[in-house]
Order: sequence, then C-alpha cells, then structure tokens
Amino acid sequence: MPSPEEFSCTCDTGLGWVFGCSRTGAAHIRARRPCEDAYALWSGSSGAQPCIAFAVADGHGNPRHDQSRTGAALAVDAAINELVAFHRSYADGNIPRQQFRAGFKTDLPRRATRRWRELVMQDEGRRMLPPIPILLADEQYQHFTRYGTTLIAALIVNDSILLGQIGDGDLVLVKPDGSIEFPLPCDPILAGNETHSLSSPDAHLLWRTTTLDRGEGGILLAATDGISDSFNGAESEEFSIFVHSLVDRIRTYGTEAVAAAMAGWLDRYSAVASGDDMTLVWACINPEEVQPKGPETDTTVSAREGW
Amino acid sequence: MVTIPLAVGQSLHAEQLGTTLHVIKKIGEGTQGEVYLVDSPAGYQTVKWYKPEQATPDQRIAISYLVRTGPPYGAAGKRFIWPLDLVTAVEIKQFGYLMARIDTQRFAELGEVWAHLKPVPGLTALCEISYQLANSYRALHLSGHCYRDISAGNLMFDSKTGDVLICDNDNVGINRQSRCQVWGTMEYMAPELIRGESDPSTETDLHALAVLLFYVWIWHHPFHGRMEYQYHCWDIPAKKQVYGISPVFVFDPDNPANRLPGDPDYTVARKRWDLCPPKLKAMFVRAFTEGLMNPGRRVTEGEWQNLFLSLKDRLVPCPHCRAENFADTASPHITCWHCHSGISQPPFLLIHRPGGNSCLALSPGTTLRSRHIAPGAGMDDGSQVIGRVVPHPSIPGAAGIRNLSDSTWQAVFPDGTTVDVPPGRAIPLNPKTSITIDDISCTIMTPSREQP
Repeated sequence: MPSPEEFSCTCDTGLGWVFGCSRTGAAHIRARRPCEDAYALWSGSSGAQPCIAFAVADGHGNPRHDQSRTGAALAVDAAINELVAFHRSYADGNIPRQQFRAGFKTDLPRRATRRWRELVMQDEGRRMLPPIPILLADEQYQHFTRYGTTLIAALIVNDSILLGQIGDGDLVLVKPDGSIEFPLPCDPILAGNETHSLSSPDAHLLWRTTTLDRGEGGILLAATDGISDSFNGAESEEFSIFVHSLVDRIRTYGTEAVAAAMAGWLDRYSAVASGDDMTLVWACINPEEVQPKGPETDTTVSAREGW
Repeated sequence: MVTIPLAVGQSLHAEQLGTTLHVIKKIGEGTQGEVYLVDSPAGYQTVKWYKPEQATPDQRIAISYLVRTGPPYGAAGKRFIWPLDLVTAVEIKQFGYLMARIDTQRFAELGEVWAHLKPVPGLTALCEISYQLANSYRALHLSGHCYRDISAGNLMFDSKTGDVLICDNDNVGINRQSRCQVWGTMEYMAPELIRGESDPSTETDLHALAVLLFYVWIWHHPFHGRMEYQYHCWDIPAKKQVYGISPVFVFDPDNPANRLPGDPDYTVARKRWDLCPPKLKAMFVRAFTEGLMNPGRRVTEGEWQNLFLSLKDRLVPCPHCRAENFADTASPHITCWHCHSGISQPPFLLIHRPGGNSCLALSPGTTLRSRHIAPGAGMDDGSQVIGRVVPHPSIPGAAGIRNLSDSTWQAVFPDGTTVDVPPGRAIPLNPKTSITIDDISCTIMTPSREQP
C-alpha cells in the first residue's frame, strides 16, 4: 500500500469517481511524527456488477497506541477486503436488495473488525514488537490497543450506498440539490476526547451502519476529524460552508483540478487550525441509470496521468 | 429504477379517511421505500412511500387488507405501527400507507444501544421488552397472521420502561396464505425456510422471535460460533450452511461443534450468557436445539411471555450499587453480578394460582399487579397495581405490603390469627403469613424455604 502522503488516487466506473488525499498535520510535522491517517480506494466489478469501495482511518496516535499508524493502514486494508468480498458474495446470485443491505449491516462490522485483528496479529508477529512500558488495563487486548484506530467504510453499488463507521470522523452526503445529509449519527462523546476504536473488545458492536439509495447520486465525503475540527466541528456553520464550497469548486473547476489542489488546502487548514493529520476522500456518485459521458472520462484520465 | 421522491408540501390522499396529507420532509428510507413526515388532520404522522418496483398490485391489496383488519386487539396490538390507511397521490402510480409517528428520541434500535448512542436497558427493561415482544407476536399470531420479517431492524424500544414498538408491519400476512415480497432476513430465517422446504408461517416466526430475543439478551447470533468464524468468505452458501443446513447452537450443551471461539469478538456474548438466569438459558437451549429442526418443539410466544414475567418478578436491586439481580428462591444470599457484593434476598410472595405457582420478590417498592393474581383476566393487560411493598412507618428496616386494590384481603398470620386487610391498609412481611386476594391464596416465604 502506498504511503497516504504521497498519492492522490482516482478510480472510475459507471458509478462515479472517487478521490482521496491525506496530509501529515502541522502539529505532527513539528513534533516529527508521521501521518497516522490512512485511506484506500478500490473499484471493480463482480459478476458484471460494478462497485466502488473506499475506507478512511485515523490512528489514535498517543503513546498507548504507538502502532496506530500501522493500525490505520491495516484498517483500510481490512475494510476494502471485506467490502469487496461482501460485494462479491452477493453479486453472483439473485439476492433481494433487502437481504443485501441487511447483510451489510449485520456482517460488515463483525467481519471487518475480525479481519483487522487478524492483520494486526500477523503484523505484530512479523515485526516482533518490543512491549511498551505503559501498563494497559487488560493484557488480552494489548496487542490491539497499540494499533488503535477509527474506521469509515463505504461501498457504492448499482442501486445502493452502504456505509459503516466506528469512532469519530465525518461522513457527509451532498445531494444534487445542494442539501447536506449526515447519513450516520455522530460518535458518542467519550471522556477525555477519546473515541470508539477498532481495538475495543466489543468493537464489532460499536459500529454505526446505514444503507441509502444511490438514487440521484451526489457527492459523498469521508474525512478524519482533523478537518471538521478545523471548522469548529461537523455540525458547525463553518464546516457546512466548507462542504458547500468544496462541492461548488468540484462543479466549477472539475474534480481533477480540485484533487490537484486538495493537498495544499489541507496543509493550510492544518497549519492555521487543528494541526491534526487530515484525510479527505470524496466520491462523485453518478445518478442511478446514468452512464458517464465519454469526453469527461478522457479528460480525467489525462489529468490523472499528470499527477 | 430510480425513485422519484415526494416533494415538500406535496399533497397526498388518505383513501379511507378521505383526508389530505401534506409532506413536510423525508425522514428515512429503506429497501422498500421512503418514509416522510406528513401533516394530517390528526397531527404529525408518517407515510411510507413505496418505490416503483415495490408498489405492486399485490402490495396494494396487502395494505388495503391490513388497513381493513386493523392491528391485533388490546395493548399488544398498540405496539404495532400498523398501516392506518392507503395513501395515494394525483397522477402518480406509486402509493404508500399512513402510520403513526415514532418518537425516535425515546425509542431506540438495538444497534443504537450497542453503539452507545442510546442507554442500555437494565434487566427489568429487558424483561419488559422481551415480554412485550412475545405478547405482541402472540396476539398477531392469534389473529391468524404471521409477520414474516421479525428482526432487530423492525424493533424499537424504550430503554427505561421497556415499552416496545414493532415497525414495518406491511410485511404481515395471513398465515400460510398470503403472498409477500419479503421473506425475512437470512440470519432470522428458520432452517426449513432457508432450505426452501417451507413458506413463512407462524412457526418460522417463532424461530425468528427466538433469534431476536437472543440478540436482545446476548447481543449475539445463536449460530455465530466456530463454524461462522472459520468461513473466510461469508457468502450466501456459507450462510445457508450455518443458518439452514447444519445450524448448531453456540451454547448447545450436547454438541460442541459450534462453540464460541476465543477471539475478543465473543467476550460480550460469553459474559451476557453467563449472566442469564438458568430458566432463560434452558429456554434458549430448547429453542435452538429441539426447536431447530422440529418446528413443533419451538418455544411459543406464550412460554416466552410467562418466562419473562416470572423473571421480572424475581429482580432485586443490589443495596450497594443498585444493579438489578435475579433473585434465587433456593438460597438466602446471592452475589451481585456487578459489584460482587453479597445480597440478602427479600422475602417472596408465593402465589398459588390454578395454573401453577408463581413467585414475586418483595423488595421495597415492588408492585403487585392484577396479572399476578389473575393472569389473562380482564380487559387490560394485567398491569393494574393492586399492592405495593412499603416501609413500616416507625420501624426502620421493616416493610409491609399495602392493599391498593378495591377489595379486602384476608391475612392469616403464622400464629393462626386472622385479620382483614381493607384497601389502603398494609400487613407486615412476616414469613409464613398467608394472604387471600380475590380467592387466590398467597404465602410470604423466605427464599430458602420456598415451595415449588
């Protein structure tokens, strides 16, 4: 997996486009700490059914979670693997939509959490990490606590948008009419600015999930909390203005131009505001039954080659 | 097929009521349609508006039938968010149905509780949720209908009171007769349904109800053990195998093939199972062993509701941490599951009913209700309070039970003295005191001396 700091990625299918950008926070740079966010994008098809999957993770990043950078990378890996496997498992059969969506809500939290734990155990075994001096309350979960991270996972298919999240971060859907929806409820506030984590013993129960109609499409944003914290929180007017202005810029200047400029914008927000790592993935979702036009595809491909 | 959403302010027509509804906003969407808040002559209500592919003639007939028949009778029926009327719009082929508005601040989904978005129900509330679920589905089944899609997704509850709402009732149909668009969610489907050997029925509903109750209590699926854990690809054939072809209960006492693995995923399920009282465990074991392949042996709604009522009657608060604990009628002391302190159990009221004895733990504040004396009698749901355990006005630590009914009780003390207990009066909780309430004999017992 490439370093999230070095790549902005795109992918396209008939469903739309998805882009991602991740930047090391200003405070992390000053403290000589790496970016502890991660994201991953995937597009493809199973049984001639296209899908887009993406994931965003934010490693907790304090001394108790000294491997959280790796934990975040493993989390997006686990999420993409499970999202794609989930899509594949349903794409081959004539499964009613209700069962497909219900299966996502019941299975993804359990399967993605389990896959992440497997990857963590493999990583720990491979690297033979020295124990950390901080005493952890429950030794059984020490392996996972060190890798603690949040995770946002999204799967876009022919008629549905499937979303899951554990911990903080923001998922925002901007409809074609400009209205903003938060498809998932906010993470409950925990003591000490902590958040729910994939490393929790009951992590599979802590996910929030939802399923939406793809319908008229829109722009789906997934961001680590460094971004909304720079705008006084996701429910603030400032964040709403940011989201609207981003969507306006995508519509005015095109997705390629926005993608190319995003790193600079995120660096500036981090420098003048939260100082935290910043990761933003945005998916431009086509309306259902509307295919992308040829010339637009050509333009975007050439823009991508220039990156 | 793209759904054309209803517009804000759009007028809809309630067919039977003959009223006009105005769309206020969209408040949700599901696989079958979208849900809108509407302004109606009866106040704010909601409309489920079907997607074009779901708005079939069969579905229209089904909704009209449900509107015509109405929900099951009584308190059990009021928990169903039942279709109130067929709703149409001018020049649109789609349709929907009118239903009551749900207070989503008060009522929670199970997933919201798991994610710490809503409070976790205590044991009293859990018993009440479970009782109300069983009671409502019993009423539905008695009316000749089956639900066909019992799942956590259709359940909402008040975490404090245990009050239940059952949503998405457009799936309800006549037992073994109606055609339907929904065959349930696979993890709740009975094995014979998954194997294609049966249609949805009250018997398949009983399996789904048991799975739902297991989720409510254990926060886990009864078949998610080693077998599910070993499937790297959790696809449809794997699900059919685990849920339909060779399902094995994770706590099956005789078959260890599907025990819970040691992974942290299972810690919560293991802890919650350990906290379950033996009678509840036994019922789950029966539901997911004998009842699995033999629908006739499934736990009925009546058995579930009797169990949860009796469990609720045995709850006592820990005097140290206030956590609720199930009293053990065979032992004078129990250990609090939460703070591990010893709890001296209160006396019990042993109620000698014609259908069998029952017990009520007499903790301070405990209420004696009409259902304890005459279950199933009367027009209400048996919730009328007829007695309450109250502290003695002058002796610290002493308590009595006050008669809050309209009739006079007769009490016989251990020394043979007989007294009348008129409404408003109380008698002390002396062991071996007998009380006759509406011709039903009750005896105050200490835990270790309870008669079966």
